[in-house]
Amino acid sequence: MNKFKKVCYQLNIFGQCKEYGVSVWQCPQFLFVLMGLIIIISILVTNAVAKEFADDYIVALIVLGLTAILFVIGNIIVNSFERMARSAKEKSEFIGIMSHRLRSPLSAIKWQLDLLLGKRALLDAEKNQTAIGEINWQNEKMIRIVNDLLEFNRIEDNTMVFTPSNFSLKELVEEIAALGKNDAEKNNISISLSVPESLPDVFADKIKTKGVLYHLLDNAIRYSVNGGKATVALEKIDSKIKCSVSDEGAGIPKSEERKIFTKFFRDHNITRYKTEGSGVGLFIAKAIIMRSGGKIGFSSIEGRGSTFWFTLPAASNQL
Amino acid sequence: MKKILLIEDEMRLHKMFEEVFKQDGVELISAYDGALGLKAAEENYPDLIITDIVLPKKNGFEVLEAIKSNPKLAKIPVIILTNLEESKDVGKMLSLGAHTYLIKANYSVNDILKKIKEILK
Repeated sequence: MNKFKKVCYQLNIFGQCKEYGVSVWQCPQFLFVLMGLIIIISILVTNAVAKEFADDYIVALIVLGLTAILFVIGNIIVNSFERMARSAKEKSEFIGIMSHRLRSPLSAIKWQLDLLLGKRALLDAEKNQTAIGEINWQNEKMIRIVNDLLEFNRIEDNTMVFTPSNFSLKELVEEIAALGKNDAEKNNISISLSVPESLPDVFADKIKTKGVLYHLLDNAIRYSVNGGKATVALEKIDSKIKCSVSDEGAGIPKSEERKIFTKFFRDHNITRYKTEGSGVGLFIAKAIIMRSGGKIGFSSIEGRGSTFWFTLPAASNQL
Repeated sequence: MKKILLIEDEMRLHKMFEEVFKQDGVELISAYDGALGLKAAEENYPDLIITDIVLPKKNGFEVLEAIKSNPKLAKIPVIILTNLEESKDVGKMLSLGAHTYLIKANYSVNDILKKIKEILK
């Protein structure tokens, strides 16, 4: 077995499997070498058995058994290639979606600059200020999109860096709710907060937690196509702080619940032409919460709405 | 005064276009989703409709299809103003009867106004 490993290392098979981010049992190069070895061994064994036993029936059974093993390995190789092809397709679609999402703020900035640079009639001071405010808002939007891309990449490469500290989740919730107010009003959604008077701080990465909250509230607004109410609630449960974001939106079909935190997942209740979701928000959120020592989950009724929740450890000096 | 209906879910773009159109003596009617857009088209009978594709409730394809199948609205020219530029999207919109397909990021405000003026002539 050690010699076999040595050959694998020399052929750089393990390196290639690592590069593709798959286990050796899903790695086509490894499976291909394994299948080759099994074919060689099976030919030798069959030959030896055929010499030893004259009984055709036994030889036929051995050949049948080995063919079955080769068939299973062949099937694993085909599945592995399929998985890699699907992954390449999903990544290409993801690049398309993210490019489209980046284009929206970019075109808005371009148009505001058109106005500021005086290609139209000169704006007055107040309107200049509005245009600059708009550019700033769109710029923040682009930063969030690019941060998502980087975060996604770090999760894939397992290189996420955490800088945990004590901070107030209540203040963060209020900040995110204020940020989402405009988009919520546009979709005819009211945001309500249910936060206790006093709550211990949490111990986590503040910037990353802000990203998680933003994604959950953004989803609640984005998928509530018929308006309604989005509620953000906080509560202390033992040594954890639980945050729940509920909406009265499309809900998640039972058949899709299993895939909700997987990368590139987008709810089929909402087509790509009705919202600009990227399909990585919940994947990133789960990775961040799990790394922070918390849990994340959801409950949903199709057509009636969903509640996404996560927990984070409370700051130890405040328990 | 000419009337333009803008169907676009980005509220900020409405404010910008309202300002720009005002200078050119054009009235802007705003709708923030596809269903409201169709309703506004039937109520106001605008001279031109500008619509995005990615819209809540009814997307741009559904909006254009409904406009073109309504005899009262079918003759109103429709500009698609979007950031989607896959050939299947462009082809589908043009085959449904869109007058012009513009990619937001590729056109300045002036370019868009020029196109609008050409159509409204």
